Amino acid sequence: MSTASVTRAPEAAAPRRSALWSLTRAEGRRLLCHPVFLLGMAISSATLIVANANTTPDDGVLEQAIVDFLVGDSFLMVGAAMWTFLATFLAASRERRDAAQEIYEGQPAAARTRITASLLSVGYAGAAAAVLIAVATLVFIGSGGAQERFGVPVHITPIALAQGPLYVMLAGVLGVALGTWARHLWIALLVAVGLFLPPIALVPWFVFDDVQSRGAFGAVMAGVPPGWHLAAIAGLGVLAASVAVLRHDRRLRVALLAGAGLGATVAVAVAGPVNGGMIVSGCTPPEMRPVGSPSVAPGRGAPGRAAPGNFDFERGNLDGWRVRTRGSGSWRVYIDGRTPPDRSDSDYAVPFNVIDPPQGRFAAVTDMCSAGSRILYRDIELKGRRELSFALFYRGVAPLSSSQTLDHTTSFANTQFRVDVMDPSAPVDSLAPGRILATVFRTTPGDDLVLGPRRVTFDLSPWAGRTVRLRFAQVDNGGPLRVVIDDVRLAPGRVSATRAG
Amino acid sequence: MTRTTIETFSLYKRYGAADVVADLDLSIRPGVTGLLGPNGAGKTTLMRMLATVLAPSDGCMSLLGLNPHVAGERIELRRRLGYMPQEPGFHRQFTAFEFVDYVAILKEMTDARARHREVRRVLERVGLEDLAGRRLRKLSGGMRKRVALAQALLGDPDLLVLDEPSSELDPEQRMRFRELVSELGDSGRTVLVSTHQTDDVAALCERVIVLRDGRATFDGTPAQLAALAAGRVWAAGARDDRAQLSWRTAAGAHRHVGEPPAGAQLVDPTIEDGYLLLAGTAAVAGGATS
Repeated sequence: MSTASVTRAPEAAAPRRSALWSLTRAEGRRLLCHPVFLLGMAISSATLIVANANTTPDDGVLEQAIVDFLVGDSFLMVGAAMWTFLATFLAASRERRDAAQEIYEGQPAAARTRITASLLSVGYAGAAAAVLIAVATLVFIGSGGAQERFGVPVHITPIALAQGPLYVMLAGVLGVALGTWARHLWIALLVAVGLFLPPIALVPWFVFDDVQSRGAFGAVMAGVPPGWHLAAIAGLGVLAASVAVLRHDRRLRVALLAGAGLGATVAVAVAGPVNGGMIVSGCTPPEMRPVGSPSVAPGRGAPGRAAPGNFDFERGNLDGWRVRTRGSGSWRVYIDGRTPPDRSDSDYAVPFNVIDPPQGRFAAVTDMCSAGSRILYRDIELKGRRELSFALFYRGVAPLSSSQTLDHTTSFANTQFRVDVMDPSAPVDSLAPGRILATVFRTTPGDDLVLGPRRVTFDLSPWAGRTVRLRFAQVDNGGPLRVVIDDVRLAPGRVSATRAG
Repeated sequence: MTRTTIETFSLYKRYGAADVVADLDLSIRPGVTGLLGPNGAGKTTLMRMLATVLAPSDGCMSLLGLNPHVAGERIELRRRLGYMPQEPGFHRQFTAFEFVDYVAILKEMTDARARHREVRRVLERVGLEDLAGRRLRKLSGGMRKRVALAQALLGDPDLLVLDEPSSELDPEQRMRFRELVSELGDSGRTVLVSTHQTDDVAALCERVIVLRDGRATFDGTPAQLAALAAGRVWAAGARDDRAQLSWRTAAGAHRHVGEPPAGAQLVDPTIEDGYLLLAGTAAVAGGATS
């Protein structure tokens, strides 16, 4: 020990009122340098590199899916989140694990301050995650707003980008909450396995599998409105933070905060599906989806009773038409090319972006939040020679095909649109040559992902005097293919009647 | 007249039905005060209460003129108090500098540059300036004790509560510790040292308090404690069974404490003799002089 004479400490070192921010900085820096946290970030970086290396121009069909999965759905951050959870657990449980409370409890900064600082320090982890997400975004969709990769457009929204960092921060807060109540590492490991292992197990499957992943996996994981994700993350975060603070401060306001967080979480969990979004399980199942407003409800006209007309959808609904859907999404009527007709069933990662109705106020469009097959059709009695015409536009994200099936659950890529004149007695999804009288339009491999708007015409004279079925069929399992149909005409002369098949 | 910095009034600390500290009245002024007592006497419990880590079960305290029972005054008190626990826990992954710096933040030293200067200052005071960057897991027990002492010195506190601070120090460091503590006492601070080392008390303390079963059984100067054994310590060539306590010294003679026989060769008593007489055989059995 020094034998120097006793001197007063420098005046500048005199205690100040609050240690919270200094403590937050100290804890944040320690977190960023923590080997466990660095390991997590390395895992997430490796995920990015592997995913990037496994997408080539040949399988560009996977592009949007992988962007959705890694960036939009935050799965890039699963590794970082898990290890952030463990790192913050170790930090929060440190003083009790090392029996250092004896020194700390004699200091002006209260235990509540230490816990609050630990909670705030997860912001450093969130910032690091944001940097990684930014790098991932640059890797996948390039800089300068060039949202295209190998010629395939990909989309990512800012609100989706926020999910990754928030996810990591939530994991950090959960780690702090657990660390304030438990000090044994094995408990944290068990919780980490429970929280993070299921999503981790899905990562290689998705990264290395082909496009069918999008079809099957997408049905349960994609397309959730981002607001629900953020609300759920925030609610859980508030709840976990309150649980942590409650360890040393059981005052009413903290309890109320915990209640608010719990309430928000429950509200999201319960109300989400009802109102059109499930927290992590993708699109609202059709059976849970509310019947839409009259302006967008599919037509339900009884056979033989539907009035002629509404070929231009100007009734604001699908009266006179019939719809058959499998999987996600449906045909709907819309007004604004940037506003999905049903937000709860529209892929937020690939924002709704079509032309405004080419004619009048309304047009029909396919919208979805994951893979599906959607058919719009009606039976037409041709009392004379007629020429069919309609306005067409589509925008897709995955390469188009002309597969001989309208099944979206195929193990191969099946993203197509076709317009057929059919035998009315045939199954509506039939592609049998004898049942299809004529194909008016169909996508083929190599077609541009964006078409139109353009007008398509087709001579129906060969079937004059007969009743035929007009079918607009759209399928996708590699990303949204949004098709717009409007102003369907049968010229010259008027169709005598419309009969649902 | 020098002000009183530590006052306790009928202080109690109970664990279940047991009074670990009972009806304790203390009045301590600036300077170095030693606290002696056998194991389980309540020394550490008293130190923890004085460090505001533990709340008393009953009674009241005034420390530096502040009431630790009042939240605002307790925080103000902690800003002016340094506490070194008997068995401080350390984060093994921290370096000595990082650990003391962390405690400095808890001490509300928010200016990083000034704080780092202060951390270097206290590490230098305990002779650890060259080991500041070494991780705590690589430091010896004595070095860690010095880290604990360093954090207690942060902010140059007016009141220092040191619980067995010299127990793992080597002789050289113990001498330096004595010098440091005596300088702190001379500069007007109040230093309360709990120890089993009676020679530390003799060397450092202006005043000594002996605790037994949670109560103060002696409160006076070291000389007064030694004087308790005046005329009751004698030396002989062989063990005398009439002595209350007897042990063989390094010189080969036997030192006896108790009622001397006629003609016994009386020797000058030490603090240890006085303490042993006060504590009795039970204290010896409990390892009070270990």
